[in-house]
Amino acid sequence: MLLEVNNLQTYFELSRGTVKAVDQVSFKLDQGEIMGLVGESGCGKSMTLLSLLRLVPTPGKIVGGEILFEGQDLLKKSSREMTKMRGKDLAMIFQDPMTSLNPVFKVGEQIRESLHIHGYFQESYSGGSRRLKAEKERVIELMEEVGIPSPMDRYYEYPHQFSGGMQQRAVIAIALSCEPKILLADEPTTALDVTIQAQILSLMEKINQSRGMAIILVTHDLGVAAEFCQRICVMYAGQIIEQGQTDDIIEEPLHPYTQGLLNSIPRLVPDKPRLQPIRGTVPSLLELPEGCNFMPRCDRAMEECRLPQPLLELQNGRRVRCVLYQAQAKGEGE
Amino acid sequence: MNVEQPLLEARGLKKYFTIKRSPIAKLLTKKTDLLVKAVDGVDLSIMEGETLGLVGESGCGKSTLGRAILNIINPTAGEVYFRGEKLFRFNKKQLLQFRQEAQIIFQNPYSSLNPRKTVRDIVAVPLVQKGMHDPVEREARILELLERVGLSQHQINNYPHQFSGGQRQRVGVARALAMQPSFVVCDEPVSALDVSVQAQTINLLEELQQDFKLTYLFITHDLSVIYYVSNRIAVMYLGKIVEVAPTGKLFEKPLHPYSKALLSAIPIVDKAARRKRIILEGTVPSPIDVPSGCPFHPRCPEFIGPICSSELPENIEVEPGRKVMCHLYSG
Ligand SMILES: Nc1ncnc2c1ncn2[C@@H]1O[C@H](COP(=O)(O)OP(=O)(O)OP(=O)(O)O)[C@@H](O)[C@H]1O
Ligand SMILES: Nc1ncnc2c1ncn2[C@@H]1O[C@H](COP(=O)(O)OP(=O)(O)OP(=O)(O)O)[C@@H](O)[C@H]1O
Ligand code: SF4
Ligand SMILES: [Mg+2]
Ligand SMILES: [Mg+2]
Repeated sequence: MLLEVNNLQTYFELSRGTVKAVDQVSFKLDQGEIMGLVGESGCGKSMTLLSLLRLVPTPGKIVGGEILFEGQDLLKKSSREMTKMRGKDLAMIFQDPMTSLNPVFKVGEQIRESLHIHGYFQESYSGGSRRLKAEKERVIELMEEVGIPSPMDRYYEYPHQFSGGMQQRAVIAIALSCEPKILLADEPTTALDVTIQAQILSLMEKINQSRGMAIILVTHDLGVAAEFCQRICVMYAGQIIEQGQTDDIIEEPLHPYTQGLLNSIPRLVPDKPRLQPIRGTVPSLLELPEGCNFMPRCDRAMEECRLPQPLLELQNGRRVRCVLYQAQAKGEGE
Repeated sequence: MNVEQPLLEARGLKKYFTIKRSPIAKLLTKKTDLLVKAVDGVDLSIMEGETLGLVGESGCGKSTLGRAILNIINPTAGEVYFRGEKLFRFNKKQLLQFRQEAQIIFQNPYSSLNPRKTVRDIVAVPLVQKGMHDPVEREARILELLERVGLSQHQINNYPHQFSGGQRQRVGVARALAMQPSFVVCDEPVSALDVSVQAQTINLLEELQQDFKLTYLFITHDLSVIYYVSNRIAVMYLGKIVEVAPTGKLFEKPLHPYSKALLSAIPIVDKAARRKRIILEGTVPSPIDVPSGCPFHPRCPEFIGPICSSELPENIEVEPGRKVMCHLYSG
């Protein structure tokens, strides 16, 4: 197992109360796998990724759980060890490529800097111009791999001279520069047009296949998750409420929230059945009910839902956090 | 009245923006002011009671077209006819009447509402404009409108920040409805909303359309949404409408090479509905530097030769109700 996250908890202590941005999150990620993390705005997708890198912004804190990367708990590493692992073992890309690019440096140099910091070619060349040359050549290769046309020229251009799609390619090149084992992609195509999104997703798919690099893809677009990911975790109000193989989840969603999501999106099916929205709105994480977080919006809620719901383990790697499936459960997957 | 007459029709509509350069820049670069061809010769008819979807990627000119049609911005060239009457010949009274009958709902429910006004004040403005000066009558009408869009009557004193995104969009809808419009331009009305709330808003707009016999121009870049709401769809690329077709026919068999690529690029939940993906090269060119000939030719996977890069294709009616702007279909 490449990555195993158990009971991860990331809280924000505010004067108005505690925001459980990541609440008992558990999942596993295999080598070379693409897993989707889906859910609506504010459900904790980004905080989950940032927690994996231990980059949660203040006042947020990881207050519990474990993050086992190749068997070692990242939460037990010193911050120096952690710094080394970022980029090298786990790399992240964001929705807005300019989060990762510095507007005043040349794009090529920024990719080279990432190689340099992580000590690429440090051993082969003791220093100086030979190392620089090797690094530059590697950067050109990377730019080619991510599909930036005429990389020799574009090496010397600044981020603003790149279109949004090209900027995102450059960010992917930076992320790839140290050959991470896991790529954490936070809505990498949300800011892009569909035809450009298709380019970037197919690039990521290609890299996943050619390098066997695992990807966790955060998206609010169920279509993207369905086409791109082998497995999906659905989040609601800080918790994973359902996970399983993509086809199982799309064809037979179990959790009432997942069912609600799939019934509320327009789908390209012939008879256009009327959309069935979920009642109400996404709750603030400061105003969650006792028990199941989805209860106030759930049509199937009953008395037992007032108790906290564990993530139940079903057949075929399926897990669901809902009382309706207690009878079928093999156990609690936490 | 002739049944075939469109409610609204645009002919040869153009909207160019000029980006002024400083005199020094002009001297140094020997270049004149830049011209952004946001809408570049659009012919479009919208029939009474239908929803015409307008789809295209960011910057292709959808919002500009919507605004030019409503006369919110002045077109550079071309004409708009409303119920067969030429809009730009309207006198003041006619224009006022048109401004009431034709409304717009914006994408961003956060910025399109004045944060310092209560919902009552926001919805009251169009009512006063319409001449409803009796406060009691007005209050009753505001409450009725709030209820109609699914807001609660106690929320009448709330400020926009006290609402969620979906609720704010409802306030925007109530404000538009206050004018009793017959035609509404919906400019990305659900794009900023969470999916669960998006569905509520789409359903609301559909109900209102039936109840009030509204005609919609529905602008969005979301192809699944447009499939759902539209009777017909116009596909826009770099300021031009490159294809118009009934929704079912477009999704069954898009004709323009750009429509084909666009439809194939949507990630789709249902496996059965997926089509083979056509990955386009490059990005959309800038509307300042529109390619010669067919504006799509530099990226077109079906480019047929010099004619594509030298001559602008005509709008060809391939079958009744289906038009394509592409040389593949001429002759
Ligand atoms: N600085 C902060 N202070 C307090 N709460 C915060 C802070 N940052 C995030 N949160 C809370 O953490 C929750 C999860 O945020 P997160 O950014 O992970 O959501 P997300 O699922 O990525 O949403 P989106 O789709 O909008 O990006 C939010 O509901 C928010 O209330
Ligand atoms: N006031 C303006 N001055 C100069 N250029 C403008 C102005 N308004 C729009 N444009 C340009 O006109 C083009 C079309 O813009 P428009 O907003 O109509 O596109 P759109 O299709 O609505 O895009 P989006 O999907 O991003 O909303 C863009 O290139 C834009 O930069
Ligand atoms: S006119 Fe030519 S370049 Fe344009 S879309 Fe048709 S085939 Fe492609
Ligand atoms: Mg996020
Ligand atoms: Mg727009």
